This record gives sequence, structure tokens and C-alpha cells, in this order.
Amino acid sequence: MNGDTTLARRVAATLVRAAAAWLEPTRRGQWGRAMRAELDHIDGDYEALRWACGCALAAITLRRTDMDMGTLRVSRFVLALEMALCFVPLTLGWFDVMFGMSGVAWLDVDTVERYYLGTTEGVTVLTMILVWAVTGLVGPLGLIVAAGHIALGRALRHGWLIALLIAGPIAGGAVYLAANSIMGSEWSIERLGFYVLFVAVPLAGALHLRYLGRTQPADRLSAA
Amino acid sequence: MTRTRRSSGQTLALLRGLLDRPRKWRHGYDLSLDTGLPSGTLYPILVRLADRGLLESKWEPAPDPGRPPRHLYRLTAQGGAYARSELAADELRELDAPQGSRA
Repeated sequence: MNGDTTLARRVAATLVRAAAAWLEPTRRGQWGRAMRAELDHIDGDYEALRWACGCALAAITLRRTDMDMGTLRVSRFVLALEMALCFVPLTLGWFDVMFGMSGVAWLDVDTVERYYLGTTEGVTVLTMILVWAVTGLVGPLGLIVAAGHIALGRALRHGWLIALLIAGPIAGGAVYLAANSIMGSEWSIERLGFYVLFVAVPLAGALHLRYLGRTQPADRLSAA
Repeated sequence: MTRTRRSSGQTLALLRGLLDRPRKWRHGYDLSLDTGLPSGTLYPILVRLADRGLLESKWEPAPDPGRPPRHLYRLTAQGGAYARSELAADELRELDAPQGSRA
């Protein structure tokens, strides 16, 4: 080994150290140490850097595949990302329904009578808004439950809360479908996006939280 | 369940490299040089082979003071048989493939 102090060598050493540290807590720990050990036997600094970059990628690959997908157990970091993806869009949608320009918070009797109650479409839209004002609560609620699970290790064990998180998107999706049928709306990519973001994805998140709550002991998180 | 998925080109290259000297213990870097596989490809394949009991590994004592021990690899008996069958199957596929489709 030469030029132990060159920038390339230092970066390489840092990368393999990080790769090894990342794998160490897993059952792949020895592979991280193996990659790190090899670096000391590579002469060229840039060759060492190339090796280290590959090791970092390998560590990411191994860590990702090391998740026990059979039991849906993932690291806290991945779970946090997943839960954000599942519940943030619905939270934003709920916020808009509640506090947007035509939000529920600004509705009064006069507005409802003038703009909604006169026509079938108006009643349908009003029903949809009100239903989503309730079912959309799954978004912020899901984020709170997920945060408790990830940060504090509180598993989701309350049956009513689980039922609410699962039933909310289903009910909202059913009402949206019915409303579109009543109004004779044609199928569009926006509608598909709606179902994915506000129904399928929150439902998947809720089911995952339910699964984790049912399969892990109360005093220990499944997440690594 | 019988595994029917065919090995990737990189896995075949590694199996070929390991089978070249089947009883010799090899270092990761040497395997990388022999096969041309970068470390980012090499290690995940080594791990998969080891998980399936096709590869055995051991730690070599540090060659010099101040240097860490290295990890050594070689095919198990089962791994050797697997490598031979995969390489033979690959050769057959090469022979069966139309001229234009060969790499």
C-alpha cells in the first residue's frame, strides 16, 4: 500500500469503514469486515477508491436484501420513509379538504344551501367533501401512530385504531367511486392517481403497521 | 422447490474463476482481478453463494503486523458441482443460441 495519506486513499478508507459499520449490526457483519480488510492490500490509491465505492454499493445492496422481507420487518429508517410516503399525501389532501379555499372549515349554512344543496352534483360533492374530511384523518393519525412506532417503540395494538386506519381509506375510496359514478365522470389518470395516493398507499401503510403491531413483542421494536 | 433461475453472467464469471483452482483459497480482491467483477458486484454474489452453501470462507491470519486478517473463499463440494453444471448449461445455451444473438 502506498500514499496512505492521499485524499483518494482517505476517502476510500472512510467509505469502506462506513460500509463495514453499516453491515456490522446485521448478520452480514463479517462481509463488511472482509471488504475493509481487502482495502489494505490494494496498492493503487485510485484502485483502492474504486474498490471502496464498490464496497459501499455492495453494503447498500446487502443491507437492503438483508431485510427480512418474509416478515415485512424493515429498518426504522426505511419504515420512516415508507410511512411518510403512505400518510403524508393523505395528510396534505385532508388539510386541503379541511382548510383549503372551499374547505369544510369555511362552510356555513348559507354557502351549503347556495352552492351544494340545489343539485344532485352539489349534494354529491358535499357528501364527498364531508366523508373525506373524516376519512382523511387517517393521514395525520397514521403519521402519529407511525412516529410512535418508529421513535418510541409503541406498537399499534388498539383494535379500534387499526380498524379506523384500515376502514378510512376504503370508505373514502368507495365514496369517491360512487360520487364519480353519480356524476358520470370518465375514467382518467387523475382518478387513478387519487386511488393510489389516497386509498391504496395509506391502506398499505395501515396494514403494515397492523402487521408489525401483531407480530412484535410490546417491549421491542421489530425495526432494526 | 427446485431452483430453475439461470445464473447471471457475473455469477458465471465468478463460478468460472473459483472453479479455475477449486481447492485454492482466494481473496476477494484477487477474485475481482481474475473475473473483472467490481467489488460492488462481487460481494453480493459471494454472499448469495455462501448463503446457499456453495461457498466456504475463512479468515486468514494477518500476513503482516498492522494489517487486518483477510477473508478467504473457495467453492464447497456442492458449490463445485453446481458451478460445473451451471457452466455446462451456459455452454449449451451458447451452442443453441442463434448466431446473431450471441454476445
